[in-house]
Amino acid sequence: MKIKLNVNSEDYTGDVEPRLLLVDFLRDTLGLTGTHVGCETGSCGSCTVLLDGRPVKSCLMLAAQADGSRIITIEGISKGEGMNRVQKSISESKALQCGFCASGIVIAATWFLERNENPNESDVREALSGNICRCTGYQPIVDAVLNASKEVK
Amino acid sequence: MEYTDRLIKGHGKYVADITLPEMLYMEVARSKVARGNIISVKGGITASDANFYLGSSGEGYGEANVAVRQPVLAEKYVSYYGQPVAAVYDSNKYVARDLVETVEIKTEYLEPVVTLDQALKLPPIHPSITSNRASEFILGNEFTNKGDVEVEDELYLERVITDPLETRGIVSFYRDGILNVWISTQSVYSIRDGLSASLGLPRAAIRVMQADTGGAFGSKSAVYPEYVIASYISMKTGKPVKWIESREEHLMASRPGRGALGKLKLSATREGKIVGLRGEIVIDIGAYGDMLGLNSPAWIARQLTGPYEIANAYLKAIALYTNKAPLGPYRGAGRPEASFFTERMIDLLADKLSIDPAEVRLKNATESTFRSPLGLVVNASKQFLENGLRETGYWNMGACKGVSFFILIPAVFGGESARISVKDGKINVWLGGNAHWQRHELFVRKIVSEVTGVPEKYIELNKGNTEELEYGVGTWGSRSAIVAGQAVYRAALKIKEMAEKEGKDIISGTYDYSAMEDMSLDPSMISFLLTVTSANLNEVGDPIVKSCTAFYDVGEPLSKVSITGQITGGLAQAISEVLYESQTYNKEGKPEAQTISEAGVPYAQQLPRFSVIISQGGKSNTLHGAKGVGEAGTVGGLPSIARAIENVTGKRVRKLPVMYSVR
Repeated sequence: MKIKLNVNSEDYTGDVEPRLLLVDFLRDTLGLTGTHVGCETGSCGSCTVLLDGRPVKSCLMLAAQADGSRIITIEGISKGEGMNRVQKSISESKALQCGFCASGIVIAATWFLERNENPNESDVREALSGNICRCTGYQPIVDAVLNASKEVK
Repeated sequence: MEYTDRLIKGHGKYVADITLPEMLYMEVARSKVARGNIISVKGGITASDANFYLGSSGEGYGEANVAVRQPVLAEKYVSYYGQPVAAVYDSNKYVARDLVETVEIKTEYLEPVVTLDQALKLPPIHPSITSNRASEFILGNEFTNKGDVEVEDELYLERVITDPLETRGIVSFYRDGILNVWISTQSVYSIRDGLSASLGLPRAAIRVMQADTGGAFGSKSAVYPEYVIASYISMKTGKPVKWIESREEHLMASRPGRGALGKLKLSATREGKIVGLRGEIVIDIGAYGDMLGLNSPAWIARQLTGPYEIANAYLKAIALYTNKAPLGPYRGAGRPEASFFTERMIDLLADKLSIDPAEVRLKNATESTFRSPLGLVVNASKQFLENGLRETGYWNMGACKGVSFFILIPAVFGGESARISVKDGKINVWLGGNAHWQRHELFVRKIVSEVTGVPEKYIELNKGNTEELEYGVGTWGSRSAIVAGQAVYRAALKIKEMAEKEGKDIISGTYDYSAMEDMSLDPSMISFLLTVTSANLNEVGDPIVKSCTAFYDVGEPLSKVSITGQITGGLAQAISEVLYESQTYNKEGKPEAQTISEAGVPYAQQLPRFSVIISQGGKSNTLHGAKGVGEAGTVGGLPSIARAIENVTGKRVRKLPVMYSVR
């Protein structure tokens, strides 16, 4: 079926199989492999993207359902800059280990910080309640997001 | 660019991100029963087409278990739920998934052996053996001293799924007589050597390249049936074949860890001095046992005296076959089991004698180098324990606390390799143990820079690659900093010597050196781990961990950020293992956790802040003085957390996890 959508500020029009998952469309059709598949049940958040400005789990949606939407993936989250403040903060803190969760966490945390000026630690942990990180015990990631919140936008 | 910056920007190259022209997608049809005779298989590639056995598995390349060899695709009978029976492929991933649904597997029901009791009572699960006892050991010597008091208990650690966020995966491409493999792994060498033994290909005909690896925790240490089948299909079709494990497959058919029972008895004086330890360790190794699984009961039993001077010990240790996925290593691989068993018994003794558990530990900690009746040699631990109890603030904490004190033995056996290449103003390093990514690059840069004087910014650690470095071991068993660290230190010394001979500045020259460093365990390499935890109840009355402080011995600290990250990550896994993480099986042997949430992997809100105090109990006898750290959190954490939970709930913690409420 035919769909039309905008991904990272580029328009796309094309035919997709009705059953094609949004995450597979992004990864396999568009080659945007920064969006990951971790659990396939919407639990881990590795596949998080922004759809019309809201974080969604792209493993739980069909590409067809995204028809007409604007999507931002990890490849487009820094809006042309090298890295946004969350990415810079994670980079500087050396918080990351295997990195598989990073795309989803960066998307979720970026969205959260745009809506919360002065979050505390418990706010950040709640904001990451849809994302699993298996390596770090979360502490360095939570600290990096808190540090990012202190930076001027 | 730093590798982490690549990953943060979404530019990582994990194995699922690799696409080659004309690539085929493989899917695996699996057994939907835990045990049965195969009547027929319709569709796909089956054992009659691809008649291979796993040549080795477990950590590194080990000789296969000759008594029971695991077929790559089940033949004649199936032995666990999720066992590969047939494979299909197509150039379209979705079509391959349709195809796998069309494979018909008919089996005749056989009563599965699910529990340890059944394993002991029922006939063997394989026709080639006479009993489900896969291995049996006796450690120590019988003794008569019963002291003044005895405490006895039965302790159990449930099976746990490793659940790295990236599942397993492989791309295999056989071309011009060479099998090229891109894989998510802890060791390109165990994959190469395992594929070689399974397929009967010479090692020189296999090249293994590590993709960015999204966590492993033990489950990516060795070859699996799917890797052999994918390689076989590529050899048959001449096309690249990709297989990416689904989470559902990971939960049913990757190698989980733990599954350990301890029936133990401690004898002590009225003052709390332990005079003897006796009992039995029983391990559920699942349907097929590799050398790691077969040896695991003895390995656990040998550690049981820990950092304590226990004069007498006598243990029976056995491994049992059951109709479950074969057991593998999970962060700690035998160490957390030993720590949990011993420390839970010491808490029981403390309660019996009404002495503070820390006092009982102080009374038994070694005051000089001690050779245990189980063959373990540990250095003096008492001073470290005294310091730790003071530094962590243990004495001033409230009632709902737990303390544990144990040892971390690094798996230095087999040594490790490292290669340093200096060319075009850059230093490239490869390690035999492949980082995924616990930030090995931080200690590599530090060591190479300190030895050669070249600034860290010119030094890069590369991913595992059998072409760049021909021999190596792997990353597991808290071994990398200590043994790979020494190998890279040796190689750096050699490069320095080569440059000095030429009278040249290192970075402006061209040098290449590969070191293979042998190492054997020495008590100076064993770390002491003191963990202090406090717990309380949340608003609905469930126990939660409030704080967790690690006072861990790392020898010479090579990278504080990487050490801290390893410890907090391990402690998080220890908390969830105590509270909810597990894979359980129903009466028919079907795995019950079917999603990552049901398996109990924790979220940020379920975990406390951790305090990590990096301590030094003396340097190890290595060139750089480091000790291991990767598994410190799970080894040190489990018993301390269990004790804190026990104190807050008032119920003795005998079995992990405490709650199964997640499903």
